[in-house]
Amino acid sequence: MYVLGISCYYHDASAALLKDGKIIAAAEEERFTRKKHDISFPINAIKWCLKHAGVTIRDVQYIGFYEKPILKFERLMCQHLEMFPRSFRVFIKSTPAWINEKLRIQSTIKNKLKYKGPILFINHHLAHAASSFLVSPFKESAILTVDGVGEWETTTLGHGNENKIELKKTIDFPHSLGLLYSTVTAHLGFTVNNSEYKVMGLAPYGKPTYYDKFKKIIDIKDDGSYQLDMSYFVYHYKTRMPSKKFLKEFGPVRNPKDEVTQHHKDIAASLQKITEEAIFKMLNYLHKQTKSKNICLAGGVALNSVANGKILRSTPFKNIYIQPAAGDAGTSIGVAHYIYNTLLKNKRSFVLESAYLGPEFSHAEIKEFLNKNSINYKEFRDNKELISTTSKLIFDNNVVGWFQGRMEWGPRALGSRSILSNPCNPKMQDILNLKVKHREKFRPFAPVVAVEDANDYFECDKPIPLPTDFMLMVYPIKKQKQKLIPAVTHVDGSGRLQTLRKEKNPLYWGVIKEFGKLSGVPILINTSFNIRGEPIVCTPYDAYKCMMGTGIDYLVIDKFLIKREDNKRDMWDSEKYATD
Amino acid sequence: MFEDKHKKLYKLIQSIGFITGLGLFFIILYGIITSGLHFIIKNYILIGVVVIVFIVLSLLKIRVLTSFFDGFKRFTKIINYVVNFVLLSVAYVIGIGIISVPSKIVKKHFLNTNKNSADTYYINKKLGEESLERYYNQF
Repeated sequence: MYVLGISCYYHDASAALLKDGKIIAAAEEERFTRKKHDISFPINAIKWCLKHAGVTIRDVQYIGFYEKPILKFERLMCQHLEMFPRSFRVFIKSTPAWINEKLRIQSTIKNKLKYKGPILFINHHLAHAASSFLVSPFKESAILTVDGVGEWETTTLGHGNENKIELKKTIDFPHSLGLLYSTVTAHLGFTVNNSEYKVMGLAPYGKPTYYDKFKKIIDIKDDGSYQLDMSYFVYHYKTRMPSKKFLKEFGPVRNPKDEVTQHHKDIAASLQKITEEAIFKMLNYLHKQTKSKNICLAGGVALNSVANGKILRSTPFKNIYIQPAAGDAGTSIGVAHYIYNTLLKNKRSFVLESAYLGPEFSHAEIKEFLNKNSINYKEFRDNKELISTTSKLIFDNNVVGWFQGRMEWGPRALGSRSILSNPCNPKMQDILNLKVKHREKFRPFAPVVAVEDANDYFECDKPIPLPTDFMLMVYPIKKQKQKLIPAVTHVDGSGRLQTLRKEKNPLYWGVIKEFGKLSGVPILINTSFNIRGEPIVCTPYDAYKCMMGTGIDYLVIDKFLIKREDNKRDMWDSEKYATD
Repeated sequence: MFEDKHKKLYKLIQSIGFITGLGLFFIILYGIITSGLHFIIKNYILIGVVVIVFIVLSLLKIRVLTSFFDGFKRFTKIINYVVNFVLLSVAYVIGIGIISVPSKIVKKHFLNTNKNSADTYYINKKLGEESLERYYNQF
């Protein structure tokens, strides 16, 4: 039985195909259209999922959509009714999209896919909950979902047992922890629904001096329930987010071109502190209610890896699970599993342990691409040569593009579409920024380490939780090791590490281990294979284009090694295209 | 491989497409203002031929024509926005305003924006077995 899950029209459109209870293909639309956070109907992702499975739409028994559009529309109408006439501009701006697209999703699915079967609509936060619990390794677990907003809910607390999910408590719009985070993101001059992680990265540079001011904005009860003082916000009736009162309290919105000052860093630190406080209180309450030792998290706020890394130490939970695409993209997996496991009452038989669910390209396809475009390359004799050459290149401080196997599911590059470099070089952060990433100086790069070596360098939870494999946990780096890996050590001595299990990606694991033999430190810098403002590369063409337009020195693609200097540089100005 | 030598030329053709759209719009507007709907009835063959030629040309995948129609589409988007703006403004004032204003008078709220001091801000969800049929609904 095939079930297709679809998420689109808000942010991060995606599709996931489930075969007999197991996800066999999942991808975000942005990777195909090359538009970051693409919200459009994920026709390319769906077509790829079906092609990968070798089936047509006629073989799909059910399609699930990640929200109930009319309920969401009802909430929007309530916003306009409440805020009349101040919501006029938002009404004019947003209504055409609702009339032309969002309320017509059923006919869009049927027409675009020529699909005649049933379409099921699953509540947004239920889809989030299912996307985490139903693919988790736990038979029963407490569930917390926190994001901007779904239909009405912004936060839900619940419990999952076998293939059933019960969401018992909610907090409804306009009170939203996710939207509070987004408001501050906007205030700090970053883009909403995109750069929240930058605020998280900025936080360790500051002191939470504005904590008391945030306490006035958000009232958090002991049970973790919270309420926002809406006089600080205008997102419920305007296209911008902070109100004049907010600006009076925290100063003007930072111009993106202006420097990030200590004031901005302190705001970020205060926000992170209050966010963690709310999350931990909710989790403590949830534990009291469910008595479960397991916790599954989902929603955009579950991508806050700094908070995630502290959960097992700050709450009574013993085990944690978050899937790689914890944000809205992940709901396509959630709806597919909810239909198969919960609604059709099939037993759970799948744990999402690997993020490699996207497109891959065969050796022959890549070779054809290289030859067709007259690209100069060298072919490795075997994996041993590939591993030794790549690790030597990295050891020699080259920046290496790494393109192997199936693309990652979720926002993080996890060793399929990655840029790898030497974490021991103190200048590597500057080199990477100069050559490729062009990103803000305050943002650290992430380390990748074999799971068996992680505890030697990082103060991880024991046993190391599965979400660490998806780069969703930030842990302190051991003090004596921080000097060894300066390029991945954040200002507070932490690192957003990815742990790697050999069986999941032996080639990648081999390079890390071989680099360890050369340098004495079995850790690499792993950053996403893209330039700022673009989605992570998907195809060999994307990878080659990215390398040739940037300062990436080498591209290791399947069994081929391409040196940038050996090939004609094309007119692709990565700096020009680099956006927020 | 990635260089587009004719970028400037295509931009110029796009502008021509935009101006053509603008020109056609003013010709039709002028015709309707001066002769009313008779203008369309009188010239229906000419208008039909122009429409058919446009449709046929837009289906051809020739770069020059695609650029032309890109510019033309840009103009139609502006017209679309103007029409939407007028219609939605009316809908907002009549549809939303007519319910919102009396509701404000009787202090009926559609959104919980006011501060309150409850013991908890959690809302209990109604639990219970839900049938598969309920998920066919978009509400």
